Amino acid sequence: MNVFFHELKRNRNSTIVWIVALIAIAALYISLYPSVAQNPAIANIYKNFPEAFKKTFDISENTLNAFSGFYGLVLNLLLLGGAVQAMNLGAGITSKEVRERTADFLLTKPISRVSVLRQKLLTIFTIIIVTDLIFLAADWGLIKAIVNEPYGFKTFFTATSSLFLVQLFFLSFGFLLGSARRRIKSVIAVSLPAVFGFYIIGLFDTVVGEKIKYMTPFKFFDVNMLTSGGSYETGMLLYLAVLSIVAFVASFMVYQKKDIPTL
Amino acid sequence: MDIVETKNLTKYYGSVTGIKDLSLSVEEGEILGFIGPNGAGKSTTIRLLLSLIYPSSGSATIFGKDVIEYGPEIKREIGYMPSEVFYYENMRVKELLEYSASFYHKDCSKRIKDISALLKLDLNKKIDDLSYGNKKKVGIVQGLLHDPRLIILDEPTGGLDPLMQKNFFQLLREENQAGKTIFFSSHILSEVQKICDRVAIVKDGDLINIESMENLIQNNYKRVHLVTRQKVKHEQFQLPGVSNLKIENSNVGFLYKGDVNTISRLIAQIDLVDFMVEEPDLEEIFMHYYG
Repeated sequence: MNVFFHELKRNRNSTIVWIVALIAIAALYISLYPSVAQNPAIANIYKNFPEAFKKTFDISENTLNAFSGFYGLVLNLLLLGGAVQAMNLGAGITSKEVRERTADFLLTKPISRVSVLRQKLLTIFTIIIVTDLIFLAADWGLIKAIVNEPYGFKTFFTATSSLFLVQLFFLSFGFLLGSARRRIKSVIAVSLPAVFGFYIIGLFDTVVGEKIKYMTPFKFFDVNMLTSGGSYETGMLLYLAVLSIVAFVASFMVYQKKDIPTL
Repeated sequence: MDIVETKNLTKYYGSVTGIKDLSLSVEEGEILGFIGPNGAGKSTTIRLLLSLIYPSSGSATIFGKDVIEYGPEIKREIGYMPSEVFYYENMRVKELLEYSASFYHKDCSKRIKDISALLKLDLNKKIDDLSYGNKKKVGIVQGLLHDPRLIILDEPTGGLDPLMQKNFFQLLREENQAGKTIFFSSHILSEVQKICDRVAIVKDGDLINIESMENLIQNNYKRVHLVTRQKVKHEQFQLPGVSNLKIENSNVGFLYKGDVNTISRLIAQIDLVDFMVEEPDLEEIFMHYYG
């Protein structure tokens, strides 16, 4: 377990920054809610936004009428942030060793590559789960403190869990990239295009139609429906689980056979 | 028993040859110099032995066990020092060494203390703040702290000052006397001459020759440069052991192999402005000795 603890320590600071950032986004937006809620002047401004803009930011009639709608807007933003965190983690945790040439150090120790990867996988899951739990608690606290409307915990929890589910996708996708690619020069240069690429794919839902939900994790489920008390489609949860498992298994297979490059 | 044995070990990087059909054995308790110019395949061979990369064909064993199948097991008894050391940022020397020791499941604290003291390495410094030579020392301690049976060194001396190099060689000799086998890769012939029992020479991915240090020294080439006062003729240097003779005006250069007295007598007959005898670089040895 020494690799696990070593990795946790190395990722501690960036994890704290991500937790603070996610909570800050939530705090910023949720604190705006009382002043925009049922404010006809602001509702009017929103109404006059171009359709394309509303579409891009998932603004609907409901957005300003009730917290459930407003929270959908906030959550969409949080999903983007969480996705970048997960993708960075997944793609960074193995590729970092190659980039900084510590792979030579680590892989000449008496430890199998499978064990290295297993411990790294455990690290990134631990980090994401810790991030999400702390965020969830803070988020719920903020809502209770600021929002003057009844909003049930079950609905909140179901909706906010989508953060973990989206992160799971990017974690596995990033992990596969990091393990399979010979070398990643800059993690952020891989993770940002990947996350925003999938986000942009999601904007083509009117063109693509129903099938869009299989093409991007941002459409695996309808966030606006979740925040209003909807639930997940079992089929989509299974689909996500299969994708992630395939990515993780493939990572192990490729990493086992991979030549560790010199700089 | 052979500690390391490779059989027709071959590695291609795409269409580029890393090493080709390399068969080599390292005997228990010896210091084997593994020498060749940059790009000859030294690091490729070492990385194959450590299963950092996988062979295109052929196989290798260490302690009689296949390096891929038993990789983690045999690495318990291997100490490896890479040619260039980069370690986790923001770590202190001590933390890095403790992390390294944590893989071996035994108490390495005494060896860490002893070797660091010998090399004058400050354990409390941050690795990022160390000079190149001091980082190299971290690499040495890291490679030796678990008391390995086989020590693999990839161009270990770069960046070490002469005094440290002396201490380091002393350390290697002590390890060797304690029965450790050392595989020492280098492109500097004189360095290998100082410490190795046998030398394996690689060029362009091929093992060209493997012989004892004694033999290599007997076949020792010298590169001779003369600046003469008068013009000299080619015929004056027609002597067994002289090769690659070049005369340009008053500048004379050639390679010499043989009894040094013979050549010194010849040179003594010439009126000189300057002269220089040096070790030929490896490329020259390859070209003239190994054809």
